[in-house]
Amino acid sequence: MLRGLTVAVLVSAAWIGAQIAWMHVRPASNRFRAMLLGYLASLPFLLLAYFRLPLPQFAQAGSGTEAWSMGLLHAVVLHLLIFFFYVECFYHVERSVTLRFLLEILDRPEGACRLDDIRSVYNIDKMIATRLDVLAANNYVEQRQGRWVLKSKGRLFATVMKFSKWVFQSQTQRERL
Amino acid sequence: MKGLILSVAVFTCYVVSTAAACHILRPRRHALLFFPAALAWAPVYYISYVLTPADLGFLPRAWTASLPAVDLLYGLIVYFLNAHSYIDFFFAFNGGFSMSLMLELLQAGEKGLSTEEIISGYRLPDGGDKIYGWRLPRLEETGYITIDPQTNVCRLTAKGRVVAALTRILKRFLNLGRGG
Repeated sequence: MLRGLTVAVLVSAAWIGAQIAWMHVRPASNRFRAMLLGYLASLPFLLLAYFRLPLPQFAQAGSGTEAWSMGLLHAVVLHLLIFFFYVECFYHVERSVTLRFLLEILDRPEGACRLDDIRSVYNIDKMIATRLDVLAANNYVEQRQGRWVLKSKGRLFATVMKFSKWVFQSQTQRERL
Repeated sequence: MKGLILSVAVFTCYVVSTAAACHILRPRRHALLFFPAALAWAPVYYISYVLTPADLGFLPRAWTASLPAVDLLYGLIVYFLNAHSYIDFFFAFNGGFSMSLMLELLQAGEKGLSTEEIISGYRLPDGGDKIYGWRLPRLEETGYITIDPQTNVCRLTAKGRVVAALTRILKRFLNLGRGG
């Protein structure tokens, strides 16, 4: 078990580190696709590392009585969950309107500014237009004769969201005021 | 295997209990429910691990952990990673800006919406907007910024400065643009 967990952490750290470094050399336009491909490409290495990678003695502890398949299963599970965590953290940083807003204030002299100054560079018109372009690039929406409509992928997500909104009795950003 | 099974079971209870609580209580701030609930269910996992037999009554010997401490810790890590994913799912689907836009388009149906129509839906009658309108008071309430009521100057608090600086470092590390 310990071997599987160790290998999962090492392989995840290796592929995520390599991918972040590569994004500095050749940034991908579709970062999620890049992350997904990175994860899938790392799977054979996970298997290889589990069976072949020499590890310190502590990482081999307890492997005598457990089935090797259990260690491998735990490696695959942890490797997958680390991938999810990486993607989630990525989008926290990349898409958050709140973090962008805080960053805009930080970049001003003395870390302070009037709201109108922020709005002049980061206003809702630009926010919405940019986000619609991102959604279009990712095939969630498209423009037909100047009007935005959902594509089937977007319709699926929006339908799930509608149900989720009902379950959790939550409000969208537009409904909060 | 025991740690993984109990972790998934406790996580399922966490999801069902928080979803039910949200539906019944309709909290104004869901984060105040999700995070404490995740911490509250963690001891349940620990207690269930300690009180149950090593094979849970049905696991084959080869599936039984030879290092229970590692198995316990692994299950706890899996639980918190799943809880993080669940909370993220909620805020992305229910609170996310992209999802808000897509829900508008879902309601508009086949005729869709123009960019101007979408933007006007986020404007307030007094000229304000629904993006900053709730966000600024919330940021002030949670201690990230202060807003001078007379000059309308927004200023980062120490907490806000730390978060903003960390954001800047992470965006550079991930080679991202301004984003948002």
